[in-house]
Amino acid sequence: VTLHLIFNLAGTEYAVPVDAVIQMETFTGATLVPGSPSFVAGVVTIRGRLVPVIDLRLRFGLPPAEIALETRLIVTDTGGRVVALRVDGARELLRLDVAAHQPPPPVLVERAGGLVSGMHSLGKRLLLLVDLRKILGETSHDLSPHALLEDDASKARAALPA
Amino acid sequence: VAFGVDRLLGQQEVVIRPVNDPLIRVPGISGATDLGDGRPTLVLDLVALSASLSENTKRQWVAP
Repeated sequence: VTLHLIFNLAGTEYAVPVDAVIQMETFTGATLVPGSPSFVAGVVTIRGRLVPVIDLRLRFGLPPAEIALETRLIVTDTGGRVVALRVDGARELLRLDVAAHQPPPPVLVERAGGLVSGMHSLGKRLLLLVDLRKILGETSHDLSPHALLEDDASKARAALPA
Repeated sequence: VAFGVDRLLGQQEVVIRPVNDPLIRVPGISGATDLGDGRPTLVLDLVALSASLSENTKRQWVAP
C-alpha cells in the first residue's frame, strides 16, 4: 500500500506516488523559455532553484486551459531531476494497494504513448497512473506530445469488468 | 550582429543561476536570475545565440 497524490486533468483523475512529490504550489505563471518543447509552460523559481514546468494538458495532447484558482504545480523529483507538473487541481491523498493496479487497456497505451502506465479502480472512480520518467522525456523520442483524448477515462471505465 | 528587442528596462548586477534541466536548456540562454518579482528572468548568452543562429542559416543554405 502506497500513498498517492490524486490530481485532476480535463475531468479525469490521475494518481502519482507521493514518494516522487516534493511539494505543491499554486500557479500564477511562469517565465517562457523560447526554444523549449511546446508542452513546457516555462520556468519558475522554487526554493531558489530553477524548475521547468510541464503543462500536463499539453503533454497529453489535451486543449490548454486558463489559470484558475484550483490550478496547481506538483513539484516532483525523479532520480534527482526536479520538474513541476501543471495540473487542473490536486487536493487528495489516497492509500492505494499497488497489487491492485491494473495494466491500461491497449487503446489507452496506444493513445497515451506510454505516459499512462496503469490504472486503479476505486469503487466508481477510475484513477490513471502516470509514468513520470516518460512524461519528463528521458529520450528525445518521448518528447512529442501524445494525443490523449478527454474521453479516455470513460472508455477505460467501460472496458472494466462490472 | 545587432539584436532587436521590444524595450530596454535598465541595467543591474545580478546573480546567475544555472539552467540544469534538459527541458529548458536551449542554445543562447546561459541561466536565469531573480530581479525581485518572484519570477525568473532569463539571461542570454549573445555569443552562443548568434552562433546558433548562423548555424541554422548555414543549414538552410545547405538544404536542397
